[in-house]
Amino acid sequence: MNPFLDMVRFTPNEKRYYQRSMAPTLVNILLTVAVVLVIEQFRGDWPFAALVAVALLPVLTIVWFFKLYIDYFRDCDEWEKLIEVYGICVGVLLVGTMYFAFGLLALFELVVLDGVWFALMMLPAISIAYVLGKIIGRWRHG
Amino acid sequence: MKNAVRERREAQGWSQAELAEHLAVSRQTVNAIETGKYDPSLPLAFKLARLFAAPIETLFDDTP
Repeated sequence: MNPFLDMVRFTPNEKRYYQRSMAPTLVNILLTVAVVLVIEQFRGDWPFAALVAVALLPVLTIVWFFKLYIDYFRDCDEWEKLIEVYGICVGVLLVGTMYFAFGLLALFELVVLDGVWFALMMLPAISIAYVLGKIIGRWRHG
Repeated sequence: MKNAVRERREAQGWSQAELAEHLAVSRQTVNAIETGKYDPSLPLAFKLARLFAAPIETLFDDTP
């Protein structure tokens, strides 16, 4: 076995998980676009509660995605779980530290941050750092 | 930790995938154990010992 290829090759469990994740990912993208269009169209006409409910619809796909991840984690064998823990730790710690650092810079008005985009980018940032953590885990233990 | 998993597996004529199937783990897990990059849990180590019908201390060597 080529050790480098082994480092990036999915386990059967991972493959299943990524295939299952395609549906919530696609629905999330479509729903987000639809929500933006609907909110822009009906902002003045609909009651506040209805707008809030529509705006939060994409969150449901994230819940769906988390449910798939928990199912996947339960099916992981012990080595796969170790690699997942690497991913989760690096994801949370790296992004948490980065957000704290940017928060300090913004507090002292050394940078100007768009809070909305910063909040929206948290999950994608964690996802990227999670993948980085998994690569580190596989490199050390794979 | 050093181990004799690869030698035992090869003696049985099994591939990593076949051993993984016997142990209900991924092939990558077997590879990580064989290369010594991952030390299996006690239940998995016992499972290996039972599968190869060998005492656990002949499979794993914790001397530096």
